[in-house]
Amino acid sequence: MDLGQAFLDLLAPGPLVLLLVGTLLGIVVGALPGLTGGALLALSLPFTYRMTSVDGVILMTSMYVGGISGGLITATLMRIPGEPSAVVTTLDGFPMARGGRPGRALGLGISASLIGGALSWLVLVLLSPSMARLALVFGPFENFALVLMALVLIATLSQGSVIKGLLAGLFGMLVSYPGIDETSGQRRLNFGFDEMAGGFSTLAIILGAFAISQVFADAMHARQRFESLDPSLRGIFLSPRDYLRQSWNILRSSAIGVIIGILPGVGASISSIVAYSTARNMSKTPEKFGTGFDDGIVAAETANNANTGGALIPMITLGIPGSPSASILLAALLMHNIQPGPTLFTNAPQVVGALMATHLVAHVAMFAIMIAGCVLIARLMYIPRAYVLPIVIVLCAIGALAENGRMFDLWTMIAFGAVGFLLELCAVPLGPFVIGLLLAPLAEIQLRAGLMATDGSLWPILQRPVACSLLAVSAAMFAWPLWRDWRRSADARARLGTQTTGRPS
Amino acid sequence: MTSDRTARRDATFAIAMIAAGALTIWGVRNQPRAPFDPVGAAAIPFWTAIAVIALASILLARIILGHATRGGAVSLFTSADAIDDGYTVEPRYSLAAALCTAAFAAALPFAGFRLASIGFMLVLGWLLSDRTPRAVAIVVAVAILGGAGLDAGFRALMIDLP
Repeated sequence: MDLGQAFLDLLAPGPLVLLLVGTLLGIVVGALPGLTGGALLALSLPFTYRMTSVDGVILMTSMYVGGISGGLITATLMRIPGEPSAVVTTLDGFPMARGGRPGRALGLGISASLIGGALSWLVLVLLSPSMARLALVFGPFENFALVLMALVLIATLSQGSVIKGLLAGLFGMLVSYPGIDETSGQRRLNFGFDEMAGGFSTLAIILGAFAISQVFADAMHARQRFESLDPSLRGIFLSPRDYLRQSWNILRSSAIGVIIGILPGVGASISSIVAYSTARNMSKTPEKFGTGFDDGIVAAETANNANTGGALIPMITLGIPGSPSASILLAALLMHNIQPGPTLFTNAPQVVGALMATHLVAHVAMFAIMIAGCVLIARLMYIPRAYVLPIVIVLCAIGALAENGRMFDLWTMIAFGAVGFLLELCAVPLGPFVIGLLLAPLAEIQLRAGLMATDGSLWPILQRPVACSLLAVSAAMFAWPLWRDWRRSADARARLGTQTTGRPS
Repeated sequence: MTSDRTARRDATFAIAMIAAGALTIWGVRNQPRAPFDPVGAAAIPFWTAIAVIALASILLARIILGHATRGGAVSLFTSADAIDDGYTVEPRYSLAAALCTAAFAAALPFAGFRLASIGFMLVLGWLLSDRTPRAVAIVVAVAILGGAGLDAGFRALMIDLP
């Protein structure tokens, strides 16, 4: 992979236009409450069909970067986070903007996003090749154990109930099974319907779960009106002293963002929450957090952009997405018949180069676009949803029909839109569902390949150190939150017993 | 403490998961095994379904026994509680959007993409708008220009639409 050549290729007119359009669209959609960067990525999936894989990667990576960044505009100016990952930014961004310094609040957020993204790019470039080389020695059992560990991690780290997270991941796996079994070539789980012979379209499911469910949820806010915003941008450019004062906060939050990004399925929202909490806990003036404090904005925005580089590392080296949005990037590569994983660096080095170059250049483009146009972008909020949402649904319908021209895919999309909406209503995370859907075929193929080589015996999996270690980590990751919850409830019961009886129970 | 509403939602989710697991087991019950394959095409779906049923049963048992289940997973949706104070969400519009989308899909084979999408954007746009003359005029313009424009644009890109 020649990264220098990838940068040069990216600066040609065609790819550069794609990058700028992708970044701008990502920022606009990221800024609008309701539609998220993930929904935009899902929506754009079918339109990358007619592109080369490199062009598709450029467009989608720039949308990914723009989508994560755009949320801070409306979070800061209106206390309305365009992206879930920008929720924490509202805590200090909005008080600072309301206190008469909207320019400084935006400047801090935009600069922190750029630096966080750039630092995570550095880790992406330095860590990915060695991680891919390490993964090359993995056999089927190691790969299976890795996918299993990813699923357990996704469920346990995506916050909320561990059981519900695991169930969401397993439900995604169940949905992936109907169709032709790749190992034996047999039809499976088609329930006698010819339309089901090929299974559900992954694209239709992703469009439904990410975009249609989001539109259904957003329709609840169709009549919402927003306060007018303060357009003053004085102080948007930070001084060298500002950067110097925030340097430790930026480094720490970037490290948090990258590490959480590398963990499978854990998105930018958790990075910003953890970075913000850490910054507050380590601050000499924690009472200033939540009142319009520089450190709060910088921690949240550095971490959520640093998450993007981290999330791409396991995706390109192991084929395991580090965040829900990265899982859609993974789906895009699979649709172009490119299997992410350790062999990607030798089979499609131009794709890896384009992805890495785009990740950095899109951050620079994001910085320029947001500094120049953030107030204009924020004004798009005033477009009533009644005009936007029907168009989004029609675009999704075109996307579902574009793959195979089957009405069945359109109905699949609508059905999974409803499923996604209901899962969110039940506080079941959608990230594990989509990642289970994408990883299940890989896990099954690897396990069955391994079992064919051992005549159906699972014993060798325990004799291979890497596979066995990964299984042990999975078991520990699964057991730890359950044990912690059990301890908490036992302590609570003990305290209750002490209060009611007056003596320890 | 788990509220009644959360418990009801979790119970519904658990029952739906048990049903999905049971459907999968029923679906693979007669799956033949290829001679060269020691595992068979049914095994992995079967064991996944068993895991789903087991976990969903644990969730259901916890609810019945009155144990709290943790909610508050970080949503991919923009958080409703981050919206303006005092603003009331209106779930009926979500239902309207879902029904209109289903009607749009049902009408596509008969009406064709252009007509169906114009009609869909008109109806849903009107339902979601505040229905002032100005808003309705914009909805009509967006529906006609959007429907016809998207149809023409995607046909030009050789995407096969009904």
